[in-house]
Parts: sequence; C-alpha cells; structure tokens
Amino acid sequence: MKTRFSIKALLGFGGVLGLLAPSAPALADQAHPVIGFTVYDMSSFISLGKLGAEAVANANGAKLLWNSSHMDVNSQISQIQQFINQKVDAIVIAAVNSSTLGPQVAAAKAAGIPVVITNLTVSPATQKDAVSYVGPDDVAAGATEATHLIDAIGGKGSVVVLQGPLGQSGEIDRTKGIKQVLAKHPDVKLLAMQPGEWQRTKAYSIMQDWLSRYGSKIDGVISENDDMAIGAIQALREKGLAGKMPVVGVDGIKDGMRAVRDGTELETNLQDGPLELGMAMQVAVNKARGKPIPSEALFIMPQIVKSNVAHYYQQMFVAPHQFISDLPALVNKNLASGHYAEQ
Amino acid sequence: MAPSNMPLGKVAPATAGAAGAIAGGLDMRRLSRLALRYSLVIILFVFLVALAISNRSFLTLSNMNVILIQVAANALLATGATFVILTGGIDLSVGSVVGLAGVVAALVAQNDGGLTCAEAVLLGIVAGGLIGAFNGLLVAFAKVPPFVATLGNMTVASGLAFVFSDGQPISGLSDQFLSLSGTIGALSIPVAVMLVVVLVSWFVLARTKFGMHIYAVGGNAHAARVAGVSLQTIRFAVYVISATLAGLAGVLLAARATAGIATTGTGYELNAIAAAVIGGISLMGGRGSIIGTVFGFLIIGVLDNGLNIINVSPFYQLIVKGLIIIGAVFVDSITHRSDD
Repeated sequence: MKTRFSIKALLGFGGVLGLLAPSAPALADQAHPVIGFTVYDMSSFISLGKLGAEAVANANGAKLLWNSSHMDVNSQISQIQQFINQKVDAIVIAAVNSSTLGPQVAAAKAAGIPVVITNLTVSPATQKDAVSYVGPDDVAAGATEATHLIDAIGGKGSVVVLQGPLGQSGEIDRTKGIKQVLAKHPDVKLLAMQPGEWQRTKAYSIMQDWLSRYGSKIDGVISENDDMAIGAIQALREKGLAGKMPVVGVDGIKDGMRAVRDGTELETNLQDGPLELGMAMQVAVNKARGKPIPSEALFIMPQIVKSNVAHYYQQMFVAPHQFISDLPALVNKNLASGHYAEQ
Repeated sequence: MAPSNMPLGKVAPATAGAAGAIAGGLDMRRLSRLALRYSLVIILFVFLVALAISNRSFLTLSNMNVILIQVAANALLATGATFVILTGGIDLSVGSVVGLAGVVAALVAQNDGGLTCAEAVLLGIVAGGLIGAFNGLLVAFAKVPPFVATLGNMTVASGLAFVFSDGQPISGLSDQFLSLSGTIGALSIPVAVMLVVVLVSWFVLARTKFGMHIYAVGGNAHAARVAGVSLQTIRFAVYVISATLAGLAGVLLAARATAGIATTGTGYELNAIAAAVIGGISLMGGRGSIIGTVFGFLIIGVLDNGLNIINVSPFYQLIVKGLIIIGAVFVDSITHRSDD
C-alpha cells in the first residue's frame, strides 16, 4: 500500500512537471529561430513557394514549421494558436480569408511574437498588429492585364472576365484593378463575369457556355489567373479560336508561360511563389533577430509577353534547382534594393 | 427473367412492378409510380423551355452538345454513385480519385515518357480501381460504415495525388493523350464514353443477375443473404465500380485540362450523389433506376449551363441548385411513403 501511494505521488509530481515544461520558451537561440508558417492550401503556387521558404530557412539556420489549412478558417485559427502556445519566434500567415484572424494576430502580438502576412491581404485593422506584408500588388496585376488586352483589341469591343473564388483577396484586388481599367474605356463592354474558382475545368465549362451565348461577339478574355486562362483556351481551341481571340492571365505558371510562348495567351504576370514566400520567411527571420524590416514589401509582378518569356521560363522552369539555390541571395538583394520582385 | 418470383421482401415486387408495368401491366398503383417517375422528365422539360425562352442561344444544337460534353465527367461519377447507393452505401472518395487518376495518367502520358496513351489511360483507371478495392475491403469485409471508409479514403487518395505530383500540375502531355478531349468525327469522345458507360450500366442493373443482386442487397440484405446472395462480393464490387469510373473520369478531365492536377475533382462527389438522388435513387438502398440518374445529371448540367448563359449571379446559382436537390429528395420520400 505504502509503495503504491508513493508511486502515485511520484507520477503526479512528474505529471505536473510535464505540464510545466512547454511554458519554457521554445527557443532562446537567435541563431536558430523557429518560424511557424501557415498557408491557406497546398495550391500549386503555394507548393512551389514552399521550396523558396525552405531554401531561405536552410540558408538562415532557421527551423520551419509548415502547416496547411485546406481552405478552412477554423483550422488556420487553431494552427496560429498552437504556434503561440509553442512560443515560436515568428509567425508567417497566408490567410484563408481576408477578414478573419484579427484576434489571433493580436494575441500573437501580445505574446511578443511578430507576425508577417504574405500572399493574401488581411483587413487593415489586423495588418496593424502584424509587422509586415510581403505580397503581390494584385490590383496592379489586374490593371496591367486588362490594359494590355484592351490595347490589343484597339480600345473597343466586348470582353468577358473569369474571376477567382469570390471573397478571396486575390480575386477582390484583381477584379478591382480590372474594373478600374474598364471604367476608363467606355467603348469596351463587359459582357459577363463569373468565378472560375482558379480551376481549369471550371473555366473551360464557363467559356463554353459564353461561346454558346455570345459566340463571335466576344473580343477578348481577361482571366484572373493562368489556370483559368488555360481552361478558356481549351474551349477556344475546340472552336478554332485559340491564338485568334486574345486571352490574358496572372501568375506565370509553367503552362501559362508556355501558352504565351505559343501565342495562345497574350500575356501573363509573374507571381513568383518561391521568391515571395522566401522573402516572407527572410523578413520573419530578420525580425526575430531584431534586424530592420520593411513594413510592406509589395511585389509588382513582371509582365510576361512573347518577347521576354524565354528568360523567365528558363529561370523558373528549365533550371529551377539553380533558381532555388540562388534564391536566398536574391531575396537579400531585393530586400536591400527595395525592388522586391526583380529576378 | 421473372423477378416477381423472388421472395426478397416488399421492395422487389415494387421494382418488379415497375418492370411489369413497362412490360404492359395496367395496375393503377404501378401507373401512379410511373407518373411520379416521369416527374423528372417533366422537370427537365420545364427547365429547357424556361431557359430557351430566356435566351435564344440556349436551345441550339451546338449548345446541347456543349451540355453533353460538360456532364460527361459527372455522368460517370453519378453512374458509379448509383451502383453504390443502390446497395445502401455511399462513396465520398470519388472526387479525390478523379484527381489521383488524372495525376497518375498524366505522369505517364508526358511527351518524353515511355508509355503509350492507352497505357496511361489504363493506369489511371487502375489507380481508381485500387482505391475502390480498398473501399470495398473496408466496407464489405471489415464492416466499416461506408461513410467513414470512403471519407478516409477521400483524404488518402487526395494525399497520394499530392505526393505523386508534388502539388504541381503535371503537363507537357502527348498529343495522343490530349486528343482524348477531342472528337471522333462529330462525336465528342467524353460524350461517347458516357453513352457507352451509361448503356452498359443500365443493362447490368436492369437485365443481369448481378444487377438484381445489387438491388437485393440494398433493399433487404438479410433476405438477400438467406436467398444465397453473397453480400461481401456485391458490396466489394460496387465500390470498385464506383472508383474505377471515377478513375476514367479523372483521365478524361486531365486531357481536358491538359494537365494532371491533384485538386481536380474536389467536391465532385457531391454532384455525383446529387445526380443520383435527384434521379430517384433512394439513399436507403434498393430503389431507383439508372435512367433516373441520367435525368439527374442532365438536370444539373442543363441548370449549370443555362444559368451561366442567362448570366445569373453565382450565389443564386448555388441557391437554385440546392433547392432542386431538396425538391427531388422530397418527391422521393413521398414516393417511398406511397409504397407502405
């Protein structure tokens, strides 16, 4: 009896010690900061971007804790909470939804953990609690592609727009940019606008439906990303219109650049995932080490057209390993120069 | 075949009754069931008319062809869902299988790959079949509830697709493979595949012993077992069929998207089940005809295409589709009550 009692006491004591353990700081070693990185989903953009984040983490001796939320807001909230509990040195967030995460970012700030927002914007109030935004100027991207298309059709005619999922900041901002440009060209009519949800097959169906309804009345297609542009081009191909009806997109994915090279896509705008997420990582590490950081690193997406596509294609897709291994140096160079998207 | 002789509970006579009525019987109860059965035709007809009036580009031959092309993938998934739901089960993994099969087929159909288009198609279908076999083993032999088993495999299949593709679209596919999204003469290949699959499935379900056993297992499993039907074989088989058809759909969609993308097919299981339910396949199992499923996916396809053509906002499109599904299940439950 006596022995069991003391074993229980020992176990209880050990249990209490165990509970106390996690409240010690995750790391007091600035040489090896622990960075919690939560993304909205493993889209092809993010999957590629992860390579950049990992490269920068390795170059800085940092430990990267990567979490994907699968487009679930609650999941992302839990992940951030866990990072705070683990007392990471910094948190990087690619938000599922622009209007949430306010309380979580505030809690991180109160716990002394700097937060970097990347790729998708959050509400201004939430951004105030964060230390930096590293991401694309989606409004400019939408405006650039719309301008190019409208110029290509001579400033008048009818266009259709394929949007991203409604409510995501990428869609909100690119639509804003497109609409700003359309407002400046009263001779251009917007026939229809539907969300293709960033997906090729959905955009294919929507384009087919539009061709059924409007046929040759459509003079051009403005797509908010390359995947949807490719879907639309497939539908055009079946009517013999690929390469004849201009299509513009954003992202500069491999197939998008190929389409620009082949002439079926007029332009795309390069959103370099590895560079963007890599830079977010570097900003997080710098802040954890007490170094100065920009409060906003806005990526003005390079415009990819037939004349320059070869350079970017070579860089990103023919020799990607080289690009990734050179990435940490490129990130630091751009941070110093302020030309964040240069490559 | 004389299905009315089989002692399989009260469901078989109703099903047999419908078959008998089609054969020429004049029972009033059977006729009123047929009338409710035709409610789907009436609904589809009403939609076609309403959309045709709303916009004159809707009711054209080329747009009808477009609708058929667009429903082809869901048709395959809905047919698979029909087999599974008739046994009283459900398959939530088909959406992920579409992505997985597309990735697998794309990986081997690349321009510099060593395999032919036929081999790529076969591998994609087999990938689906393997997931289906896993589903079947869990449901038929390990007695795991279908919802749980297929939900688990939904994430397994999705994870595999991401692992195989590294999360990137697999493109650079051979012209031969890409031509799967084209035509033979004037007939679109996906549409031709859909027609063959639907016809074969109708024949299997309506005219073979295997089909009859599927209805039996769903209608009254206990009686079916007593009558000598192997519950395990039937249950295993339908999950393999469902995932194999999903694999085929995944291959066709990869050709259409010109890439194998892991996320293709996300959420497609819902449209497949909706098509079957709208078509009168009872979620309890044992009741419904694949002809109903055909109307189910046609109604969904007509709505998707038509609402885009008349430019309805995407939010209202969701509401309309949801209300249709609720309405169809409502009609189905009324029909079911009239059996008692």
